[in-house]
Amino acid sequence: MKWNIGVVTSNLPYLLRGIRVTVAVTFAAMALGAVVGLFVALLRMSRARGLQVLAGLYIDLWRSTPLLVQLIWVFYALPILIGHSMTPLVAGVLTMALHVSAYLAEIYRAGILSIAVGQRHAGLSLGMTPGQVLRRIVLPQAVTRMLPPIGSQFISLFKESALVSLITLPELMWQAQSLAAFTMRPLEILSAAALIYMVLTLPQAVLVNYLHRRYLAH
Amino acid sequence: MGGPPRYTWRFDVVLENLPLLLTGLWLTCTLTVLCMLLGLGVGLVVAFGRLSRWRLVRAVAFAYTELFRTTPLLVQIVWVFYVLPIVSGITLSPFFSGLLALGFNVGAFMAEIYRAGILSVNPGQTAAGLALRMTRAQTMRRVVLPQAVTRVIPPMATMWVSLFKDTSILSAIGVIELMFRAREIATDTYRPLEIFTVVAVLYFVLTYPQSLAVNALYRRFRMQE
Amino acid sequence: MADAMIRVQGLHKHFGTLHVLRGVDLAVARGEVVVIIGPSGSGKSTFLRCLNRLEEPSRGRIFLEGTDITHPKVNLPRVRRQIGMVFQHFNLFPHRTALENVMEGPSTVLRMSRADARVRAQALLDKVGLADKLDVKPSALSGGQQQRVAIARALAMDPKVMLFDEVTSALDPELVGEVLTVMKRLADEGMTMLVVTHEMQFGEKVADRVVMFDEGAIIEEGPPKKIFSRADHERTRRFLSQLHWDVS
Repeated sequence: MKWNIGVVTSNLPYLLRGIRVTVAVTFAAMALGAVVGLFVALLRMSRARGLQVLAGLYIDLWRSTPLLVQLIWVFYALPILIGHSMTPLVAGVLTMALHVSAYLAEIYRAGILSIAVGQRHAGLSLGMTPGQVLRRIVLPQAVTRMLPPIGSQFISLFKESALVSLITLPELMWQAQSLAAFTMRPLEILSAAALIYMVLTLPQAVLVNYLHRRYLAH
Repeated sequence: MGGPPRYTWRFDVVLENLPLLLTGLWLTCTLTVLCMLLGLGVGLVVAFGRLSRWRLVRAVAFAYTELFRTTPLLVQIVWVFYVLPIVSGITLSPFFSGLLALGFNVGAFMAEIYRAGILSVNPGQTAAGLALRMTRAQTMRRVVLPQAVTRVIPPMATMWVSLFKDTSILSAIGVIELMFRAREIATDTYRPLEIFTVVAVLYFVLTYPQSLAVNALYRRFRMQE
Repeated sequence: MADAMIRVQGLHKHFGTLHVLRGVDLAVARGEVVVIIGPSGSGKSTFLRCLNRLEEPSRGRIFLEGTDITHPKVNLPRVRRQIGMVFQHFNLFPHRTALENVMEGPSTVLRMSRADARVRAQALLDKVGLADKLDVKPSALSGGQQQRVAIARALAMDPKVMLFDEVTSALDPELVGEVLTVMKRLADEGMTMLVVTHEMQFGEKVADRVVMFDEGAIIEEGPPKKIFSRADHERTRRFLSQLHWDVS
């Protein structure tokens, strides 16, 4: 068993294209999921029981099924339902966005509810509408508490993006596997892929640790 | 385009293949149990490695946990299946590759859970134990560990539920669990909509009660999630 | 009374099966200072929170200057502007300075310009004796100082009525005086006030009327001189004596 690093270095541009897709897909899914998640969280906390239950069901559905099952369903089953095919990119980003939105909705809700009810009372007693209380009093305080778990969620999403290779989206994992097959050197290529993920994840982890220390240490 | 064509749902296809799906489900459950057991054991060893007095042991344990926590599970599984044979000369079936990869993955996360649990026990307890002339090992066993256990159980339960869902990824290396069966049958019957919908529902129906139980555990042990 | 500032009729409040307020009737005149006393759990704080509908009454009506504020179609935020509230645990906004806390109401709700809001806030903080703490965050203020900021914040809305919910109960004893001083000054200036408190001396000196709550209802009310020395009801006398109040 001999290591041939050259096969990695000579194919770096190919792997780099995969890295770009991984990063882009993760950011796009996170951004979309952050918006959808906020909407779902507000529904979950609304006073209309029906909306509350619906939002709860949405959250439970996306959190109690594996991401892979979701990806496969959206890519292979949904097109049949809507009569329109989907590219791996759209299916991948959409699924990842909705998947993470359920987790983010719970993070938002926990953050907002963690703000003591007295703050809400104070705002309301001044004559603020519930919307003003949320925007000016509750959310600004909740946001700093939510940053660490949101950061952790981003890292999870980044790692889970590897699964979109299984619906043929050419991100890093896909590039690595096809390259490994082509060069017949899985040892070097797959190890390099693992290393690349580590190198990309470690700074994120450092940032999240920083967020934890800054905003959650009592 | 005038919208989706009139689609005839054919759930009889699902019923025909139910036995096959259930064999996949059986393997899913078996894998969950086996990987959890492996992970619990490996995690304990690594956790003590992290807390060891010797710097080299701590470094190795740290490297292990970081490796498994900063790389995607899929990468780990594929690596064990394709690369481990090259490196070690031993060829493993998809089942055992998956078992090893997922088990050691769980081990890394369990090590962190154990470590956090042990460290969260008030250091005064350890001091008290040592003051009572217990050895470090006795103190650990009789004073610290029992208290750490209550802090470890809820995150462990969360880990279990994640593990149950993550077994689906083993389908990528050909382990014939539920997801693999689903893809196989969907391809054979040309009815991905029915098959994948039913499998998604199946995962939901099995996972959701478990997560409710996990929530109950958190409440019982009165911990913040 | 004809021109009551606040009139409460038949107020009931249930928390599940718990009947916390059992038919409370009360009228408060303009400029009157009403001190509300009673044992814990008697419903005093719940009553206060019903007045600005932070708690929703289960039954009954509340009138503010003749307007029924329990009516479902009433503009609640607009009503609440006219009722100022000070809380036991201050509830200052931790992410804002003292000045910004006091400015928040005028700026966000009354839509005053920031300059005008700042002028008003500065004047009020000066009035409560905190002119030198304008740019300080609540975490750097003592309990008494925080509570005075809270009073200024409520006053910034130019309310018609001020509600005080056990505002000194969470304070260290040496800090209670500075808050009561501010409240007395407010009373002297003619503010209509409802004060739930255990500070009997304050009640004796400042109240126009003392109301005794027990088990969700008003069992007695009258001028402080009467209540504190010659209360009619056995329970009132017992409650006061438990607080080591000299009851003859």
